[in-house]
Amino acid sequence: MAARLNIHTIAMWLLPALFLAVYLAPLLGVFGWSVSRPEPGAENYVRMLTDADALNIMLRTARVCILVTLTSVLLAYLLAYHWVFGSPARKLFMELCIFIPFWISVLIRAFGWVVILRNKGILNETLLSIGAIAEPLTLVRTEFSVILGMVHFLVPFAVFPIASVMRQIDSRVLLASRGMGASPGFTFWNVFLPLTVPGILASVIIVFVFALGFFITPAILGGGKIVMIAEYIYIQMFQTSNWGFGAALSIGVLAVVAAMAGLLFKVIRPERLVK
Amino acid sequence: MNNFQRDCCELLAERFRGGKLDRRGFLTGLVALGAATVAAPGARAAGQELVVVNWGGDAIDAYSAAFAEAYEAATGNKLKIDGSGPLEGSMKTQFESNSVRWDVCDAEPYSAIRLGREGMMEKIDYSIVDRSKIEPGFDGEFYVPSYFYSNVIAYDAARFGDDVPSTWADFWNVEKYPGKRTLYKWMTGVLEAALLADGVAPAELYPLDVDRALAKIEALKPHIVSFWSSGAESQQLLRDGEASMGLLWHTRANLTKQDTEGEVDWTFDQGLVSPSGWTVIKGNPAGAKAAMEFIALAQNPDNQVTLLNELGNGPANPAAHALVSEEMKPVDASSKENLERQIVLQAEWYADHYGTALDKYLALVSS
Amino acid sequence: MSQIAASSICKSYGDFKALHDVSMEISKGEFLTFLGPSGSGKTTFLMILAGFTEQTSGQLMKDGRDISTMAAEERNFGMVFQGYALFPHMTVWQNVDYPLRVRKMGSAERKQKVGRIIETVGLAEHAHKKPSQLSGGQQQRVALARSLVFQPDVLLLDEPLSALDRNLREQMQSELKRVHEETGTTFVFVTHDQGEALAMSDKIAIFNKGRLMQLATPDRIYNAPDSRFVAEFLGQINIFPVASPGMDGGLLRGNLDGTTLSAANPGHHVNGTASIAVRPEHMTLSAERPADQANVLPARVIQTTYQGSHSDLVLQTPQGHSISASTHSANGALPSVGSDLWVGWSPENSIVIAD
Repeated sequence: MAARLNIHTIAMWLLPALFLAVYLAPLLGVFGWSVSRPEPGAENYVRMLTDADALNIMLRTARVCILVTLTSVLLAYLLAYHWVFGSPARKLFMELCIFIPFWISVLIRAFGWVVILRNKGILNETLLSIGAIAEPLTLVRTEFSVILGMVHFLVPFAVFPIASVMRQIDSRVLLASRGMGASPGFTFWNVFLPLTVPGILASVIIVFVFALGFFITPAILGGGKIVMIAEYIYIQMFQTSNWGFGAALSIGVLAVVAAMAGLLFKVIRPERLVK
Repeated sequence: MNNFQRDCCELLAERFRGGKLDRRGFLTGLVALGAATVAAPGARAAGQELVVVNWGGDAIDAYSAAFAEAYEAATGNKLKIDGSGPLEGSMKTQFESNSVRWDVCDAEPYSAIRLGREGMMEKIDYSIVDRSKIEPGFDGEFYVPSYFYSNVIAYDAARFGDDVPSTWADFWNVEKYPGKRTLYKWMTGVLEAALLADGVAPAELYPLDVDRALAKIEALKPHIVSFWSSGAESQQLLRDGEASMGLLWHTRANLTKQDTEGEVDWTFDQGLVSPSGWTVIKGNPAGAKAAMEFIALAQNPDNQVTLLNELGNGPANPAAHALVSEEMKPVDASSKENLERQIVLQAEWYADHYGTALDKYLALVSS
Repeated sequence: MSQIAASSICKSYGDFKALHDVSMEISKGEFLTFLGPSGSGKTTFLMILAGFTEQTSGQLMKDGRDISTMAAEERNFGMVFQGYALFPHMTVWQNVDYPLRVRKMGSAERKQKVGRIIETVGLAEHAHKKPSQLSGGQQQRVALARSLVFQPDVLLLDEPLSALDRNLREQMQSELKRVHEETGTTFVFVTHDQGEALAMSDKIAIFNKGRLMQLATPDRIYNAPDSRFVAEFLGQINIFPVASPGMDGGLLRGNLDGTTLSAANPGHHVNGTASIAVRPEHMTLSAERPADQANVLPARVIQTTYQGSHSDLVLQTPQGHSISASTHSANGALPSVGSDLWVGWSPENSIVIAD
């Protein structure tokens, strides 16, 4: 006799079934496109790995994402440190800094930076009026402004995993280091930093994966000149109806994301981050 | 991607909010754009509702109910406007997945041609749509012009004084006309502008020499502050003086001129003019006939002139030009005298080459 | 000369005074235990010695040098924390090597020192394991090795054995003693376990409510407590408040319910009220009133508890005073519950407590 279907069995299978329907099936469809359009074969993947223009865009995406990730995680580390170990007043201030940006849409934040950075923007006008510069600085519509906008968006996301790991550090371990004669710097590099590495790695992966999908911020702050992989896929899908190539690029991005997620699970055990 | 049409809706909403447009004018504008939503709960029977897709805007919904009643009284049918935008990829998806939701799309002519060739679009039924109400030469197999717009040279008149630019060669001449430039990110008109600047005669533009055009653009690139992708962005660049010259849609150029009280000016000289096109996906829910009837209805010259007055969009029906006021004549992109100063973008060429050319163009843009 | 001298150390947290005017001297090579209930200030004082907590007032000297404001990292004290505070990302070897790296010692010397101390604490075969792979006792040894490898002037231990089970704790006690003797380092050990304190220490400092109550050898602490708190804190004791105490020929005499009790060597001046205390093991029990005992009280047996080598008894005097006594099993059969007998002890075993 087959086991009777009870509510638990159903509940247990519902999620995988949903996952299958909502993620896996479309994903297989996308993969199908990538090897069948316009003609069957691996042509799209060959193009992805050989086409100079596509490689250029991937290279730029990688460079921007790496710069954004490094900057965001560094800033997040400092924020997290003050958030976890600061005085109550400083903790509150840090919380405001971390949470308020969540309530502001990515679009508004990007335009906010345009308002601040453009030629007749707040920053340039101020610098001009105090005589610090003679000509407005070109700040917006550059790779710099794209990175700035992305970092601004992503820093709060990077704070949480780092703060979580910092909170778990046994303060006696740090006292022990001091007690053995170590200077604060020696303690930081040899004890504190190594103990926060799992949080740093988690932040790196979260920020990098997020950054990979960025579309609006580069479009607005890059003056149209900073085309990254997400926008490139959008172009293939909607502008030039090049579905096969777009699908191959999507699968490529997904592979990178999956590899990084795999790393996250294997190396740093995510369950440690939610304690 | 018909960014231009999306921009029209934004313009309309901006002007309405700014008090420059009264409610009646706003609604007429929407009628002309086909950009209003009928929120008609109840009656859902297929064939009684016609879905027109365009690039919608926030303000449109708020006044759709009032418009719906008027429209229903005139035609007996319900009209529903979907603002999600007839991107080529979206139209293709609907056809391929056999779930067409849109009856009439206001799309790029070259998208209509491309998808038409693949057998995805209805041929225009000229027994219902009146050829004589279309600007001669634009009676496409798969599209009918809804209105005309132009890609023009806009410039910092305050900076350049009396000797103003009037050709794309001037646009490329950064010594005579110093300052930064801005071009359109989605390429329409830009290759033509580059080739004209490089000395190609207007009659010999097509087929476009893409590599030559790109080389010309590359030479200008250090001076290009931004490749704009929204009308508002292009306007801001000129208004704030971040760019001294730009390739702008003539509607935005004209608005910038008004906003700056003439400090920014523009010209139809060597403007690159194109229609936006009504087109119908095969298997549309209301049937091809109902769709064609809507297109025929939209040919009404009165509505087209209202659209010109409120937004500056050039009428698609030549009969409309006679109704244009003296004041608006300089802005009428499709009038005989203005068309003579301009060069018409060739939708056929775009249908054949847009994808590959855009890939190369964007590679240059983002390099 | 004392190695460490603390004078008038006070520590306040806002209105709360964690330490009141604590002064003590610690000799080189001594095994000193701080004993007291939780919240008594013993750990606070240890942290002040270590330099992790700054005293509110008072002076701290080491070898005649004022170290009152010296940073923890400069004091060259070793510290074993409660919970050990090992570096979880380092192996046993790296943990022990850490303080030597801090001191920028050459690698050959480091290797030799680390190897030797790991051998001493019996962890040679675990040198390349991470702390999480070790048992509690093994972690304890790593902590000990790590805090001794750099030959600190003083080793401070904050309840290091509290996390271990009973058997392991006794084993580690003797090991600590052995290491103390081998290294000759001054050990300052904090515990709330009196047995541990008595077993291991050269001297015990009893803390209560932020005050140092008494600092003396275990024997004196046990047999000559100079306060009621110390007397009661360490082991079982009977305390009899006596009326009109007075000195009489080297003995202190006082009256309890009409019976005169006497104590030899009060050790300190008594005026007003006093109590005479006596440990249960100094009580003798007899069926007849003994003629040769100076201090004798009648009592009825309330409860008896057999403990193997000895038995504990609870008795009560006719006036309602409760008395604890213990007798060696070698002394014969236990009296039965309900029987009346006599309890006696000598003045030499009497402890005088000034109230």
